[in-house]
Formats: sequence, C-alpha cells, structure tokens
Amino acid sequence: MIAAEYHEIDGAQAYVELAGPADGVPLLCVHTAGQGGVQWRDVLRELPAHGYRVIVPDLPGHGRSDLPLDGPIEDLGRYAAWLRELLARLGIAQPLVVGCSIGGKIALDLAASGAVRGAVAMAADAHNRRLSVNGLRRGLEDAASPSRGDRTYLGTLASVGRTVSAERAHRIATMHRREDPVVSTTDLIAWTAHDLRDRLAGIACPVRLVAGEDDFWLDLPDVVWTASQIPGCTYDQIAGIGHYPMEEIEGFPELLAGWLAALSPNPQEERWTTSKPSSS
Amino acid sequence: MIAPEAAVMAALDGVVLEDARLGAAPPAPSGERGGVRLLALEWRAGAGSPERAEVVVTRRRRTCDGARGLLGCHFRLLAADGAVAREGTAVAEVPVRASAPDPDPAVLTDFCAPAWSQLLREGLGEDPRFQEATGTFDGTIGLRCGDDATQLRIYKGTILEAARSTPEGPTFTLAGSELAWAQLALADRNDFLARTSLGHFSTSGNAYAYLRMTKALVSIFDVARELAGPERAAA
Repeated sequence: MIAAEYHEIDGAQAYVELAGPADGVPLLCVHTAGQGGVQWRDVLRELPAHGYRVIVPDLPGHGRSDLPLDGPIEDLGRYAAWLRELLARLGIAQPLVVGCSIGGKIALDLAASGAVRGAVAMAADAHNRRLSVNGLRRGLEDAASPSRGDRTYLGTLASVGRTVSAERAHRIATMHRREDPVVSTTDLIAWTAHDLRDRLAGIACPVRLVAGEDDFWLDLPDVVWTASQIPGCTYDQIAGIGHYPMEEIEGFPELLAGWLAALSPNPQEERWTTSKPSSS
Repeated sequence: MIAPEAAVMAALDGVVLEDARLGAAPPAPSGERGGVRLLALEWRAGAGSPERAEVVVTRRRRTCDGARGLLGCHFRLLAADGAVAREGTAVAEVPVRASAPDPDPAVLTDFCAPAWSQLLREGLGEDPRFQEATGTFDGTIGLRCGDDATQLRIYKGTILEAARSTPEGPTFTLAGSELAWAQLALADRNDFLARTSLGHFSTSGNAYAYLRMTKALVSIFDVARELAGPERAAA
C-alpha cells in the first residue's frame, strides 16, 4: 500500500509518498530536474518486498509540493536541507538514498553531510561543466524560450539510451514534457552551480555512482574522477542507457535492490523504529 | 611514426568513388593501387607521436565532368596510448569506376550541395511533422556542412525554394563540420539534440527562431538520415 502525506515546511506544503514496512530500512528516492516522484513509481511498488520503507517526495515546486514562498530554488543545498527537514518530520534518520541527475547530486550532498547511511547516485558528478548558468538564466524569460515543450520532449528522447525502445522513450519524454519550465531551468542552474569537489573525500558512508554510457549531460571522465575521490566508492557505467536509468531500464527495481544490498547487506535483519509521522 | 599526408594516402590508395562510402575508409582493393591525388590537407598537432591512423570519409562527389571523384576525409592519428597526436581534414581526388549512375548514390550524402538540397526539399514536402512545425513560419533556414551551404525558403509549412542564396538570406543558419553531418547521418538514431548540446553543430542568426524551429530541424535530420539510409546500411 502506498500512503500519501502532506507536511508543512517553511510555510509551504510538501508532498511525500511512502510504502513498505514501518520498520523497514528507509530508502529516500530523489527525482531529476523539473520532474517529480512519479519517476520512482516502480521502485515505490517493488522495493517494499525487499524490506525497504520507500520514501518518495516531490521536491519543492515539483509535482504536488508547493513552490517555496520565495520562488524557485537555485541551490541544491537548499533541496538537501529541505529533505533533511522532511525526514525529521517523518521521524526517519539515516536512510539510504537513491537519486538521479540533480537527485543524484543531492544524494551525494546528503552523503557528504552525514545525513544518510549509504547512497546510490545516478547521472551525478561533483561539478558539471556542460551547461552555462548565463545561458540558463536567459531561458528563464518565457519570451526568450520558444518551443519549450518540443525541446523538452525531443531533448528527452535524445537523453535516453539507445537500447530503450521507441515506445518507452516516447512515454518517458511525454511525462517529462509536463514540467514547469521555470522550475526545470532553475534546477539546472542549481545543478551547474553546485560544486561538491571539495567535499567528496569526507564522505564516510558507502556510495555507488552509476552513469549511462549514452548520457550526453555528463562528461563520463568527470564521473570517474568523482568516484575516485569518494572513499570506497563503486562505479558502474551502463551500456546503452542514458540519463534516466530508473525510467529507462526494465526491471530497474530489482537492479536497485542489488545495489542497495551491496551498500547495506542485510536490510531484512535491520529494523527501524520511527516516531509517529506527523501528517497533515 | 606516421605523417598526416602518408596516413591519408595509405587509407585512400586505390579507392575508387563507388567504393568510397561514408564512414571508415575502406581498405584498398588488392591489385588496384594508385590514382589518388591529395588536393588539400589541414591538421593540428596534439600530444604524442602518431602511431596509427583513423580515417573517416565524410564527403564524396564527382567532379563537374564526372571523370574523377572527390573524397573529403577526417583523420585522427593516435599515439600508442590512444591520445590524439594529429587531427585534421583532407580532400583527395580519386578515380571513378564508371560514368555516374542515375540517380548518383553519392548525391544522397553530399550534404548541403544543390542536388542534395533538392532531395531534402522533396523529402520534407512529404513530412507532415515538418509542415506542422513550420506552419506558422515565414523565413529561411540555412544549413551548412563544411564549406557547402544551402538555404530553405519556407512559408507556412511549404519550402518555396532550396538554393545557395535567397533574397533576404537565412533567418538562422545551422552549421556543422563534414564529420558532424556524416556522424549524425550514420548514427544508430537521430540524436541531433544531443550532438548540438555537445557542440557538434552551431547556430548563427536569429537564436529565437532557431529554438522555435527545433522540431523542424529534427525533421530535417530525419530526412537527411533517410537519404543516407543505404550508406548507413553499408557502413
């Protein structure tokens, strides 16, 4: 069963979905730029059977979560702080985390701050050099950003890997086209500006970095370098996959379960006591 | 250590136009050597001593009289550790096997040349997505492949003319090297947006109109890839 809750954080409504045993190992799932928790729906359905308490929020301004009162967020550190606050409201400490793209970088941020017990960071690097913050800022003006729906749809088709079927790619791109362009663009500004290079060596929890070989958003040697700077980090490069492994790979939940087991070998034997969630 | 000129000549030695498809330069047929003349060579130096060559044929066409073939090439000379020691382009004159067949298959990948532009115009005329994408457009899309350029004068979904120049000039121009066009034509799929994000293509002129025409540009490369289909199958 999937439970949905709203919590008020900084005066705005935060939406989160939860599934799995209350005493299961908590697994926080963080979505990509401009998207929402729906990207993790397969994980939300299937990981509880592996003993996980799955937590899937919509970041502020995404999905069913309000935009912050002061406008879209341009700092991944604020997203990380918001997630820590949400976890506190849920009575959850030290979860595992999996994230992709900005979600992957947020996962690394949470790992660097000691807020999680292990992280799977997909399509994430410590410092992205592919995008221009100035160019992104120009795109924030609606009058300067024509055909945004086409560009998101076609850009997503180009972002998924070559092994993904046309039907699946179309489904992913159609979902992505539902974004709020302003929120997506500020997310990318936040992604580009957030530099974790100096914090990687201080990460103490187990980390697995995952990148698709067809991901043009990343410079794969930079991801390899990022992995090399994190103590004990495991790195997987997946052939034929692009920027959205959890949406592109059929059977992704089973794959993720394997990765998580490698981070935290016996989730079924670990029982977590959570305080009563304060839903509203 | 090998020199750029020697590497290109070795790759193309004995090649005749009908054998020289886009993509990796084919090995010279046994017993058929010579007849290749290097017309132009440009390269820049990287690091290391060149030990092996990668030569990609990026353009093929006949001379005006049809008696000789012209091949455009992109080459990389790699050091033992895989680093790019030399990289550049070359144009070579090669023999042709016979008089040009009709239609000449070389035209199908002679990107932005006049005959190719007419084929592109015909293909886009049958593409409803292109017509929808340009249904509110009154302007000219310029396309450039290396030194060859063409312009598509478009009004409300119809290409009025495909020509080297138009009265008002291009609204914007999309440009890529011969290698960029060849690689996109031969790729597994039309990933134009990924390649343009990576800088394989650039734009000049009206940037707003360029963004607005994103879907139309994807259609242009869909048709370009369709034209290049036989080359892709042979590559």
